[in-house]
Amino acid sequence: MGDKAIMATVWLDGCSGCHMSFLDIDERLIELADLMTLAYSPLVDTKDFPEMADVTLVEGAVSSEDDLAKIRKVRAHTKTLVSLGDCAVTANVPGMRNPFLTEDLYDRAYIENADANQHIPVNVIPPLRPNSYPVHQVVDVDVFVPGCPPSADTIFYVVSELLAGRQPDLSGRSRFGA
Amino acid sequence: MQDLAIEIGMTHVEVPYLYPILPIDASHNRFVIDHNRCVLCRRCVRVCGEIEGAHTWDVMGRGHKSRVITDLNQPWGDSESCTSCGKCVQVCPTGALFEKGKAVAEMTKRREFLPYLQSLRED
Repeated sequence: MGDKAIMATVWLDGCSGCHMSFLDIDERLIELADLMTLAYSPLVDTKDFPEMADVTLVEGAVSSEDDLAKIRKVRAHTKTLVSLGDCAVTANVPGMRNPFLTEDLYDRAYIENADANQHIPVNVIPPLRPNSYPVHQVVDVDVFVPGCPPSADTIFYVVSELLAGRQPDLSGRSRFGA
Repeated sequence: MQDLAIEIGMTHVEVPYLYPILPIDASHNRFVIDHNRCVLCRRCVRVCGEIEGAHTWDVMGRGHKSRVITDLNQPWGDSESCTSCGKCVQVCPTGALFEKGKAVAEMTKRREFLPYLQSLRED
C-alpha cells in the first residue's frame, strides 16, 4: 500500500454518469488498483477525505453551498485536480438553470409542481448557490476532461497518464457532448 | 466544431459564462431562429449573400452583443428579401436555424392509412 498513489473521486452536481463511465473501465480497474488506492469516492465506504490525494476526479458542477464547501476542501487536499465531464468543465445541464432566479426555481420545484406538502425545504437539502458554476470558476483545476460522459477509454488514459506522472494530451480523445 | 475546439487545445472556457436569455424568432412560416444556439459563425450570412444572392442575413452589434439579423433587424417573417430557399438552415452548424415541424411535438401524423392496412390484413 505504501508506495501506491492515493486517488479520490468526488460527485457534485452531476448525474453520476461520469462515475458509471469510470466503472466502465472494467477489468482494467484491476490494473489501476495495482497503481493506486481509491481512498475516497461515492464508490467506496470511506467517509473522510484523505490528508493528501495525488489525483482527484471531480464530477459535476458546483451548485449548492455543500458543493462549494466540498470542492474547497478537496482542492486543499489534492495535488492534481481533474474536472471530469461536461458538468464539471462547463456547468452543462446544471447550468441550464442559471438564466433564472433561484427563488423561481424553488417555487417551480417545491410549490408549483408539488402535489402535496408544498414547502421549500430548509433542512437536509443544502441551499442552492445563485448559479451553478464550472469547477474551475471556484477553485484551480489542473486537468480538464470534457465529455458527457467521457468514455471509459478516455478516463483510463487520463488516470494512467497522471499516475505515471505525465500530463495527459486529450486532443482527439474527448470533446464537449461526446 | 467541438472536435476542432479540442484539436486547438481549448479544453475549457476561462471567462465566466453570461447566461443571457436571447429571443427566438418563429415569425417565418417555415423556419425558426433561436439566438440562444447561435455562435455567430456567419455561415448563414455568407450562403444567403454569396450563393442565394438575397443577402437577407447580416450581423448587428458589437462583441457579445452581436446578433445575426434578417433585413434591417425586422422579424424574419416580415422579410421582403428572403426567398425561403432554406440554405441558411442547411449550413447552420449548431441548429440555431431550423425548420418548423421537425420536432416530435410538432409532427403532423397521418394515421388515415392505418385502418386501410388493417383491412388488408383482415382480407
